[in-house]
Amino acid sequence: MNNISLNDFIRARISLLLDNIAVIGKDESLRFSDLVELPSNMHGQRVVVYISNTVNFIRALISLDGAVKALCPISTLTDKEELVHLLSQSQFDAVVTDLNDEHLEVFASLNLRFFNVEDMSFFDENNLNYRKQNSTWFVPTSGTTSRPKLVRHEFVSLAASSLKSKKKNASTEVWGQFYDLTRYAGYQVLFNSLLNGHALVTSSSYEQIHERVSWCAENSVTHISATPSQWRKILMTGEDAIKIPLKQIVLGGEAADQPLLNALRKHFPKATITHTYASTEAGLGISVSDGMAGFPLRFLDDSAGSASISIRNEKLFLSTSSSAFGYSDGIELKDSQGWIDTGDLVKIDGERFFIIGRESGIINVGGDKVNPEYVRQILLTHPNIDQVSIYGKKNPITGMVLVADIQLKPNADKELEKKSIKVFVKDKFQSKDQPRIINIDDEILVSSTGKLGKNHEIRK
Amino acid sequence: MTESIREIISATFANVFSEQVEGVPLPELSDDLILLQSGLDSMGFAVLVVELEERLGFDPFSVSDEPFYPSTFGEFVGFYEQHKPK
Repeated sequence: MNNISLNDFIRARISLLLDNIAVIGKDESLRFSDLVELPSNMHGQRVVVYISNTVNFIRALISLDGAVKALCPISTLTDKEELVHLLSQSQFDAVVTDLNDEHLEVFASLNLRFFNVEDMSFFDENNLNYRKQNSTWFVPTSGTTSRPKLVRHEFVSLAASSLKSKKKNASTEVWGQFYDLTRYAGYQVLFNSLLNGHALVTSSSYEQIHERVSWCAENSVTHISATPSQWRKILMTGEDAIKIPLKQIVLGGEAADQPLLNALRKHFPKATITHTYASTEAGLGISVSDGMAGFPLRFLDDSAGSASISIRNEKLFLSTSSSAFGYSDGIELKDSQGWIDTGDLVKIDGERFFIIGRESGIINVGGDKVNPEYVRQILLTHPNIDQVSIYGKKNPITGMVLVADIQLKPNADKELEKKSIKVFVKDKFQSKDQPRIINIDDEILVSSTGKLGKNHEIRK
Repeated sequence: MTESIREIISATFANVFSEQVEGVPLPELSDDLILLQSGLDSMGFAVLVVELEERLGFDPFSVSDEPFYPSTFGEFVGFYEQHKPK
């Protein structure tokens, strides 16, 4: 199985379905045969993929895998500071993009060569079948700090669960895309479609949720995988949502709570509802379709999936066949027995276990990881802030909302400073890290840094 | 005279909207206003629910047995009125 690229796998696995529609975008749709005929002349290079148009993004991935030494797809919604941070973690030669120069300053400053994705059809035809590398895929994560790291995968580890199903001679599944395709969960949806001959209906997070939901209904989407926060938004579209003829609902990226599972069951009585636990580092861990929050304790003996599970010191450990190879900085993921410490805290209640938070105190806000200590340190640089406590408050609509309790320096004007802090927050933080609720208190208690303490607990 | 639940929700909505949304005028808070098209994002609604809990003293989403995801402003207000503590 060595040296087989994404392109080769598609040809081999769905040879009878190549004339089927693979990708349905707002402006253009492509057949599988359109995708596998893409050549690449970027052999041996280390390439950043920075493409806003989803259809072009998919074309680029198929063209590059197996030809380039490494590819690092990054979301074009990434803010500048985070982009600089990600690119500093490895060496890159070039960027393939559909954006114009004003959005590419960071790449220019690193002396990367630019390739416009529109020119890809002009790439070296002679090298069409010259795909001999196991390209490294760098996938951004935000596992242990609020700043994402690059995790090293190869196509076969990223696509492990999609490759497990048998070769397909027919498909009736239509998948709707909600995840960002540069994230681990997004790759699962993409590869599952490409390698099993399913059509993928794409949309982007630039679009309003009502548009995305109507677009899925219009294209008779049968399968959607999304975070609990995204599912709540989908449900909030009301009548539009139930027009989607869903057969399969998948939830991942955050813990799925019982009220949400019940609501999905009520609105989509014919759909199978599955919630999963996966991470960029460990790959796909566990999944269950019984409609109950948490996971069965019997999974500790047999998870019926690709992962072995262990709970040690109230923490979840996984051993999987689809895990990454390591971080881009060479730090190991696994212990000597092959176990990955997920850093997720577990509570056992009856016959189930529940993921209740991160050991590091990291808060999951709508699938994005927020490091409260990072937010706290930055708020402390405000001239009139004395003490800060950051925590997540549970909320029925988004799951979690970030709260800052703030004690001002003596003699600071409460009303005036509250306004100034709100401006400060918008200026200093990207959207996910912004505390949305700011309480000015006379006195607050602050626990030791970074540990899950009184002030970092998730409050209900 | 005490304010009605609708009045409190409208005032709190306007307040949260002005803090969370930039460069978009406050929409008319009519019953058929689609919540996720109002300009407030889902995180904004989370803030609204938290602020309303402080103003009204209850959170209908956590007291209700039936999960509910309101689509319009009218449904949102109705849900609060329906779950007002007796």
